[in-house]
Amino acid sequence: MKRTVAFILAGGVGKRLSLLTRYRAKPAVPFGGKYRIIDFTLTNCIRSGIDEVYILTQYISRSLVRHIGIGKPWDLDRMTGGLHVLHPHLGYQAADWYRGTADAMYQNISVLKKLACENVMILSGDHVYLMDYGGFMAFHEGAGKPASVGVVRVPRAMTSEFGIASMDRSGNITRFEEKPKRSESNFASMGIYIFNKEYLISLLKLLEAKHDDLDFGKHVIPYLVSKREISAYRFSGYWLDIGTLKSYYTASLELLADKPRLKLYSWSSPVLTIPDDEPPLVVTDEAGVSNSLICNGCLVRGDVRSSILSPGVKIEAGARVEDSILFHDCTIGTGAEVRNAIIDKGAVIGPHAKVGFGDPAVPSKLQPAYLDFGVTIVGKKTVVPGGIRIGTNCLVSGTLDRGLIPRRDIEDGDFFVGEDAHL
Amino acid sequence: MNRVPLKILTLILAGGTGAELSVLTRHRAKTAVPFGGRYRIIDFCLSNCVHSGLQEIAILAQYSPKSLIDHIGMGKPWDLDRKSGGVYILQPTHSGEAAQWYLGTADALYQNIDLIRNSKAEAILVLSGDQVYVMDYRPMLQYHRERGTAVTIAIKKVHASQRSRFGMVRCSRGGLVTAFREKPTESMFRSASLGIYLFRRDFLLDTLGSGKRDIVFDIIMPLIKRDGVAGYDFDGYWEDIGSISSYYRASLQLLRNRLLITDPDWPIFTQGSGLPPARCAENSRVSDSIIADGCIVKGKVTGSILFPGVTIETGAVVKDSIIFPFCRIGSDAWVSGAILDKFVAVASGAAVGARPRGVHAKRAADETGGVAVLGRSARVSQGAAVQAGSLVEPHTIVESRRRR
Repeated sequence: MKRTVAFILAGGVGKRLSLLTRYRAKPAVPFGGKYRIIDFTLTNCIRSGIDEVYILTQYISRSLVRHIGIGKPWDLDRMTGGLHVLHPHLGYQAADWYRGTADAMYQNISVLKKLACENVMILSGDHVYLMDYGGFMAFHEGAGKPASVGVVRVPRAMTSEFGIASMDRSGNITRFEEKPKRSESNFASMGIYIFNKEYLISLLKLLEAKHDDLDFGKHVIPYLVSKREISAYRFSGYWLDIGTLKSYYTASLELLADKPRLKLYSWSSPVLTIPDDEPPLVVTDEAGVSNSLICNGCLVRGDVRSSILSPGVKIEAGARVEDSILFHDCTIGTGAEVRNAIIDKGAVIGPHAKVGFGDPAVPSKLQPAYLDFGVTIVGKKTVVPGGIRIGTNCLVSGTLDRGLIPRRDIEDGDFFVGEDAHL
Repeated sequence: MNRVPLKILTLILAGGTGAELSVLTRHRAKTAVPFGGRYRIIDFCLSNCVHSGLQEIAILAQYSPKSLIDHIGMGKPWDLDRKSGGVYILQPTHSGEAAQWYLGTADALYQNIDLIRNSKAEAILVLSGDQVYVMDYRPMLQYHRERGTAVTIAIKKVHASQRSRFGMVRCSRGGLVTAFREKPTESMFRSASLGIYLFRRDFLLDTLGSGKRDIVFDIIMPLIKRDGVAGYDFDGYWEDIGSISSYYRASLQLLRNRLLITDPDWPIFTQGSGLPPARCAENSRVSDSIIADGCIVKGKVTGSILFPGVTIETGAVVKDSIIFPFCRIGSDAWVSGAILDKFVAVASGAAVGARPRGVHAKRAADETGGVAVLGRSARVSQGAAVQAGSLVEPHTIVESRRRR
């Protein structure tokens, strides 16, 4: 197999994830309790034998950079190759923020030129999937085109959310439509590509001259389709683009199914992430736990049902948590009730507070387009006073310095967002 | 936390056979026996070292060191992968004139005397890797400096009923050790030696020699007569795992005394399992238990400790038991008052720890205090029973007695 180096695009704003991406990049959003979204792509890389990986960051990269460190958990701390972070930088020649996914690659064209490899794989840090890229790489070599894109079948009703590709028998893409309402094909681009390196360099130079916000989905792929220079590799496993709050919430709770489509429980090839120093989960004799994923460092004294608890969560006695996702180090106070909620890192729900109870038909007043499916979000380090009631479709966030929000009930669809947490 | 390195060379004795832990130490050193849901016994000692700012730690290994070596690796989880110092494992080697196993605790030190000679440390701390305790060694070092004795040993008051298990010491008002009796049948002395020794480097270099095999008999006891041993009183948690029953008791005590592993100011460092979160299924019932990553619980678990990757199938009941990594308890199986070593499989409908009926079971019960212990990779077949207090050797298959 020809040597392939991977670039992971991890700079997007992830605005549709609302409060969850207020203080972190989308690839660093926790998923499945102990993982961050980018862990899946990094795990795929090392399992597929790719040992040189560049991560392109831009938007609030601190938590992402801290998470990936020198790449040790993925065995990417190498003498040669290994893991590198490419952030927008100033240079002798004109330089700027990344203005599009392909523009980000163009701005690192000098890195590309120096690479000792034949192929370059472009990946996204926003996807949850387990895939051996070996098949994709072999396909690329066999197809004989300078570019290949991974595609996956999506339900016909959802073609309007993806770039949809139509292929001829040998896999060459004959047509590519961006978010069509109706389409002859239901193969969606996964946003993962393999290019012959030299071809990519000249292509980026050519297209950057026409578009300074050069984007793979918007410009590069349509151009390649028009030139008949790209073929599609069909992936048949589970693949999810964490695009919206709703897809995040439903995909997370789907992990609780009896046989989830995402196979986390493989002893021989687990998803790789940074290890924690937390003690094991402690469940006390007054607790009740069912249908949940619970990480190390959690202390459960109350009732937990159909929920996902990241490391270090404390559920006090008499508290009830249902259909919720609790990020690291949250505390749910004595007798508090939390339902249909995402509680961000370090938040505290005061004793006997009620969060997430109400009428899901009332959409969020602040972000009706993202939050209308009956879930309440409590932001990072927010402190919810004891006894208050927070409805559903609510956005609630204190500030990072002072998490405490006012002691008053928050009605369905309403919001309270502290000063430094504008959305 | 103050992490300024102390000028101390630490030697952890980890070579004992741990025969008292029976089937649990058939394939591993006692220090590498799992404890507390995700730890190995030696993690407690190593974490104490790290929290006390000790940065050069040699582990003296001899018996079945493979699992210990795997566990320690290059010391990363303890932040002991250092450019200089750090943690390393020393096993008996061929030297120029002689080649022999470590013949005792003092001999193990003597065989590594070059390490002590080349060290710039002011004192040598000698620890046992097979104890579970939380201790900051810095106050002990301070005490040692103030006393100026050749040796300071850590001591702790123990209950009269426990005294025959330990080396018991008597101290003068001034804190000097005036008498030492190893495992006395009856003792008026109230304090036990904890097997934690701090030696002045020059003293240790002068004293070690080919005839000296045991630290207590050949070094400490002769020195007491010369007023050279100080006793440092320690009153924190300290547990010597001296038998299956004390291992079982100390483990399940964690359910009451969980601060030992959950203290945010004194985390116990260990290797990560890398497994996904614990999963409690729809009809599971879990209470009063410690559960590690990667467990899948579909049945009922109470009063128990599950290590990483354990599967408890639907309808199975696990009660008052300690289940090592990657065990599998089949549907409707019943496990009570038991310790299951790694990879043990209990088939559906089988029972482990059922009430003893025969004389044979009773005799075994004396050895384990009534706890059923199943060695690594043992299998209990469908419908078979392992009685309380039984010892099942590793890789044994326990068949059902009833045949159709």
